[in-house]
Amino acid sequence: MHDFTQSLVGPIFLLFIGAVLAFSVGVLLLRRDEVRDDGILPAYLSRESLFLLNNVVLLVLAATVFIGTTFPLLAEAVAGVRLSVGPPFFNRLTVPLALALLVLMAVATLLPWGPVPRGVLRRLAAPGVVSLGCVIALAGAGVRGSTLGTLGVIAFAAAAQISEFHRGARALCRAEGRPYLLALPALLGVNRRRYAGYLAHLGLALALAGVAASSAYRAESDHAVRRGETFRVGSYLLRYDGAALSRLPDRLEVAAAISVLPPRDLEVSPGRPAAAIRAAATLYPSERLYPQQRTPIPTPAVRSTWRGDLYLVLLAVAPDGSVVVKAIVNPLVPWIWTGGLLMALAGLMSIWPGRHS
Amino acid sequence: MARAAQLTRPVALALLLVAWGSAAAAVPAPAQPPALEQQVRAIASRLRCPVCQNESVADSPSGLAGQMRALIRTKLEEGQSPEEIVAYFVSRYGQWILLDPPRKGVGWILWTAPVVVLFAALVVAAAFLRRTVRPEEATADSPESGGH
Repeated sequence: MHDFTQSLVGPIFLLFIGAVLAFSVGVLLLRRDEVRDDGILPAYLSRESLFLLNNVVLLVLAATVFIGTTFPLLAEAVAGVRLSVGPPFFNRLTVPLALALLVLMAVATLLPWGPVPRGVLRRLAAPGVVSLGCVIALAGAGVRGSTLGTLGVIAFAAAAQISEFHRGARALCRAEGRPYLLALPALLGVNRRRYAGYLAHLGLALALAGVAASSAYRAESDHAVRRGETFRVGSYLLRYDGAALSRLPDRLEVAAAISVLPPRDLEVSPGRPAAAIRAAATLYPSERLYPQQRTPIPTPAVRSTWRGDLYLVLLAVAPDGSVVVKAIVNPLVPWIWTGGLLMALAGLMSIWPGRHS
Repeated sequence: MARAAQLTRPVALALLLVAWGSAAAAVPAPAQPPALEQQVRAIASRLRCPVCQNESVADSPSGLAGQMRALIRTKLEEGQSPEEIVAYFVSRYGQWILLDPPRKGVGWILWTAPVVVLFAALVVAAAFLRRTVRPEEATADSPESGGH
């Protein structure tokens, strides 16, 4: 269990969750006449029934988290057994549930409300082909196993949203004769809540791609290097270019210059020495020593690109100028931030009061 | 390096010996082959750091976790299997050290409970669908304009 209770975070968090719960239940009770349906569903396979299944999956996800977090307490209180429930348990149960959620989300997006027209399942074909193409491309790039399957499902969900935008824009082109590229943003004006919802779905797919890639392909290693030497971490080739000491009024700071070499130069041949390669960027992880303190404080350097985050931590510097550097690569982490931002923006767009209430 | 003076020997020595001393304990001198590091991380992420708040041995920056990772590395180099290494830590710290509780005894309830919830929810949903799906009565209310 998290020991939130020992700090102020606990009460604040509890208050926040309580407020969210009270507000949503309150609104639901106040508007219960408006949200009550007629109790008739058009078909077993329909957007409505997929929403129901979606709720089943969300319920089981919440139950899994609840069971996992309270179980150690219960086991100790009832059976006197001390055990821990950690990430391996949650990953094994929540990842398949999250994938089911994505598939339901993708298929429900492609179906209209109400009765399902004949042949509507053909809309699954294009996202299916895109997903298959992604899987083949990723397999060619060396992605294997469950990560490959996960990314394939994510690609399917993302392609389903994009295909709905495409279908809507084409219909608008035909109906009003607008150019396709202008019709795309115009969709948000035609039915803001619907298309903002699809944007939020797209954000979720982006964020989950980032989560899947960064948890499967995180690379971390320590390297002891002399000046001019290169080392590899993940898909990065790095070169140590020397260290420098600065004397600042309040502290000493020693910084190592580490160059990120362009990915196409991954192979260093004798005819093409590493020193001759022009760096794509140079990072300066450093250690700071304040006079009052005995141990230096490392200040990591981070390079964030669409490919992922590279963290460098300077662990030690030897008198001969060689250094020990910890390098960590977290692929696609910026996708998580971008996806989260897109979800937040889309959420704001859809709740913003508009002309039609 | 444009932004700072080049390393000067005496000052550097004083600073760096301190830096070296603090880090040397945790740092392997030569770069480890990545395959071994991955194995160490895989095992360490299954173990709970005994002195932390719900953190795995792989993620914890604490000294004890560092020692445990070093021990895992040594045992791997000695040729022990991941299961033997995990069993060793269980014998020293108890079942509590496992972040992934074994599927036996009380742990069995933990693993089956979410599955039971899933089946119960599916049964309720299926019963609801059987009661409410009436294709002939449903009317299409402008499917393309309805948001959600």
